[in-house]
Amino acid sequence: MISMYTAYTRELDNIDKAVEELLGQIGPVALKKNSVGLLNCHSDFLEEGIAEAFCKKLPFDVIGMTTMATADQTRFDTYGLCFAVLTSDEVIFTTAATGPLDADNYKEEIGEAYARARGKLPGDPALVIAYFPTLRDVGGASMVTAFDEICGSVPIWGGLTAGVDMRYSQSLAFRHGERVIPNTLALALAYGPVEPEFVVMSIPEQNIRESKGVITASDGCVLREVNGRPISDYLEDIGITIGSEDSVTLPLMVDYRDGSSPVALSIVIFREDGSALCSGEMPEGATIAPGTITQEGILGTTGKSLESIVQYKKNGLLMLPCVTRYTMLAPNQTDEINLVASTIAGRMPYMMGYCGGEVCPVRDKNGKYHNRFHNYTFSACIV
Amino acid sequence: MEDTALNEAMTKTPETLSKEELLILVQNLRILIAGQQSRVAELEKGERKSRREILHLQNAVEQEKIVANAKANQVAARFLAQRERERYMKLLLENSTDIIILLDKAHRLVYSTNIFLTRAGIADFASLTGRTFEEIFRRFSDQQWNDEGYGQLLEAMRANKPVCVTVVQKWNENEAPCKYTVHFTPMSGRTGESEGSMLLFHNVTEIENAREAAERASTAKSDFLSHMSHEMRTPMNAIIGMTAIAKDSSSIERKQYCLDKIEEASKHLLGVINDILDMSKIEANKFTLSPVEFNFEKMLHNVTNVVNFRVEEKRQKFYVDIDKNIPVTLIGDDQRLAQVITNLLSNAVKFTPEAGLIRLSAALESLDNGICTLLLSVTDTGIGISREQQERLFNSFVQADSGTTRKFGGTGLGLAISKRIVEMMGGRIWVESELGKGATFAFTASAGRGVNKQRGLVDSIKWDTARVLAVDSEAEIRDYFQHLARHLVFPCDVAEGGEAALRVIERNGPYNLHFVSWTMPGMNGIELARRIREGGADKSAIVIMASAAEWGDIEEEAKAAGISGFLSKPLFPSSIADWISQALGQHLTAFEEESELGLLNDCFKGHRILLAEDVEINREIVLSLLEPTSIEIDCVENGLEAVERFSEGPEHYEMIFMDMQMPLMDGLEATRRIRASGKFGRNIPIVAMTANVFSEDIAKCLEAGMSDHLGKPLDFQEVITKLKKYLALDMKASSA
Repeated sequence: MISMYTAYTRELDNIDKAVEELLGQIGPVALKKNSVGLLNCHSDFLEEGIAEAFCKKLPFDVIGMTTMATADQTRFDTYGLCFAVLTSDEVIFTTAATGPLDADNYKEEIGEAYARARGKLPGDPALVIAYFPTLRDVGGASMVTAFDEICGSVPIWGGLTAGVDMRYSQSLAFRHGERVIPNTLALALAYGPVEPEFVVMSIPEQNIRESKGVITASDGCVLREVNGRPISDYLEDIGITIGSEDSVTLPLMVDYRDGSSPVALSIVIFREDGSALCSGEMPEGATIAPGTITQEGILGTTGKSLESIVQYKKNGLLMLPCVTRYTMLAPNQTDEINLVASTIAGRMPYMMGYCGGEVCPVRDKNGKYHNRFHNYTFSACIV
Repeated sequence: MEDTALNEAMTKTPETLSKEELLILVQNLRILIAGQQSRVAELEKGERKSRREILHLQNAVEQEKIVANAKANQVAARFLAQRERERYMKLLLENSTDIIILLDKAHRLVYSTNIFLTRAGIADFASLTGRTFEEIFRRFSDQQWNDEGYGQLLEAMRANKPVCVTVVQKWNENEAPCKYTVHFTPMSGRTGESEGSMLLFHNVTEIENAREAAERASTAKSDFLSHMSHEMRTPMNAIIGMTAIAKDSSSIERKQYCLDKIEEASKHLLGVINDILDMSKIEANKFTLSPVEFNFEKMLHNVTNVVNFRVEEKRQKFYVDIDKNIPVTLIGDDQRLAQVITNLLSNAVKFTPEAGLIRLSAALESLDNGICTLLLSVTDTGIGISREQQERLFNSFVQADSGTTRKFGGTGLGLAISKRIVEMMGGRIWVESELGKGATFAFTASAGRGVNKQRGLVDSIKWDTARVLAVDSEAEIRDYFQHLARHLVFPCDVAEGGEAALRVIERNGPYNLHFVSWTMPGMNGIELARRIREGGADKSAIVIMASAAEWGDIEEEAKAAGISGFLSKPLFPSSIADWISQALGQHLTAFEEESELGLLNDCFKGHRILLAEDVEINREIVLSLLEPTSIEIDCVENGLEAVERFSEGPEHYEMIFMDMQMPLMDGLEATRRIRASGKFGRNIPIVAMTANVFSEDIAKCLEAGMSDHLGKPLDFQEVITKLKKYLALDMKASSA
């Protein structure tokens, strides 16, 4: 059994005060035999050294990632640090981090990092928690696919880092809060009697455009043409003017026409040749339909997700909803956080941070989990 | 104290400071520096915080911009998507062939497709605003609200429950009513609240008409099948019954009577079967024509021979008019053409009372690039056909009415088949008639002008020595002779009876050719012939008795009276010309005489053929019918035996009759093997005997190597014709 405890601080100006505040919340906790820490924070906390100072005080490994806005059951803030410790007598935790990832080395780096963490365990883990870097030349789906192959389809839950803005500036994943290296992936493995549950919910049907376009030219995650027109022209035809700085506000529902449910993917960046690097595979022949992120849609899907979460009698809740949801809720950006607070309060401790892409397994019709990358979703792991 | 000491120390120069004063100064300096450092750190922290806060504000502003842009995009996309939806909806509704009407919760019209406005003659939808469904539809007819359909609609509207009904709607007085399937569907929004309802009128008039037509056709087919069953069973009953009677009877005359009836019933049954098969071919689109070059007048002659017996039985007058411009030979399917004419003549004979009149006319409508368009008609003074009956006449499975069928019999397929044949010949067929006033059935057909440059017999005769006297009480016949004489330019006098004829002979002198009708008031033809002979006519003079009747019974008396020969009516120019040529000593012959059995005795003596036929009775029939010809026939029962027997002595056989469907090996395979067996096998004529007469079946026979085919049931005349064609005959020795 895993127990979970959280701590939160908004203190950015005084390291000691921040650390003291955090330790004051975690210190009294009776930690069990094995523990691992998960840290979501605004990048300021890394810059000010608060994350590092705090992690140094802890007797266990910590992995973390920058998020836009964080919350636990006590507080929330755009500029906050939220910490959760998972502790257990039966479950063993190990952690690792890669070097800087790029299109050429990500598979190898992830493989080596996993091997290091896995090597410390008596057997295959039951759960992987991973914080992925947001890269300009590798889509989230590609990294998840590689990791899935490496770990043998052990359920992977986590997300892509989010930065201070929609350009993902200063987005980082890290281990122990130290040696902050750009484009690194941090992972934690949990071995033992872990039976996590996962909830992920995307854009509601009514927010997806009815008429769909057919992908007529693409190259893996690079989308070139829809309905025979360059992607930017296609978007213009349907009334959408968008660039790399705000491409994440436009969800694309992709139907692979293989019987599986459509997935929401984002445009990571528009490239110089006019093509768009997307967060997942865009095969020719698949259809896409732009969606809209609305307050109604966001709160609707979160509400439904929370309804299923409260059915589980578990000890902790980790949530990584998509950063675009937070952005598009403006000016009421805390609506989703408030909804979580009002629904979950008192039931179990939780940690929530808005990330740049969600990694969460989905079940097939036989109940088997498949690791998937998502965008624009509300994603949760219940431990 | 310390402050005082500090102040004092600060007034001194360094060299005058005491050790204690120096210490105080250093301590205070340290405190000062630490304070400044702390202040600097605070300032730096403050600056970082300020920078951070500025950055936060900048990020917040940027996010606001991004959100604003995203929302603007959403609005724009939604707007365009909405416009697109509206455009498609507009197109859908404007072009929908179904009437779709949207009603609000109070059943008032809020929208309709354009087709509704058009059909209802409403210029502007605005005039319907606020009106309920009932108010609007009531304007078309109050009566319809008594219909069950509309009643159910109103009930469904009140209950807000879906329903599907059928209604008949008449939009205005000038249009026929249309049948609609109407779907009433209450509409609900996403949250389940009522949004009004929808009516969809789908025009099913055409489908209903097609369904009714199909039902009628099905009924007609069922009736037809029932009728055909009767038509087939009736002669079968006669055949079986008469056979039983013949077997039980010891009287030869009785047996002969029974056999005659069996023959008649068999022919009738064969006719029914042929009609059904023809109709099946038409329905299956396998009805084809087989064009050949043929003598047109001869074809008509053969046709009249078929109906003459019944014409004579009913003592009807039957005339044939042939346009002299019709080429002697034509290229077309003579058998199918004859089938049409025979059908029309048979109907004319059937539906014309005793002593009525029937005329067959053939004219050349046009001749263009070697294609002749013929116009043929059969006119009778029969019972006539009403206009309603005329509309159904040429339909399959339908006679004029079932009463006609019961009274006059027949399959009812003849005209439908004739229509198909005529249409395949590029023509059309029609009827002109009034009930009780006879009928004229006419049709056009195209045929190629014959390539054979055979001159008609009439063109071959030297007419200048002919002197012809035609004697007939019918003015029509006398006119016919005179018309023929004018056309062919030969001298011809006419007389209306025996006495008149004698007066003409006395006045004008003897004639070398006399055509006298048998039945005339006063002096009949036999008596006239006697008087002509007694009057000293030249022995070479010819007296021909013309009659529609069978002259078998009076032949002896007629010949004794001096009748040289007989001419059957209706008259044909070539038949007349035939006798004229004899009278003039030219001995030209119009048509080759059909062989009669009596003329074939021993005609095939010394010849040997192989017959492959698995059915014993069929073998027996062939053997019996060909027995008088003295031909030797070796029989085998299947294709394998045929191949073996032939290979045992291929030089023994001059011809093979090969049945098609046989056990062990069929006729096609046997033919292939015989053809592959050597020189004799390659050359021997093999004639297929087949019940399958579709063109593709005949093609299969020819592909397998067969030389010819005979249809089953076997026509004995055709068998003889094939034998004559393929056996190496000395014709002079074999003809009677």
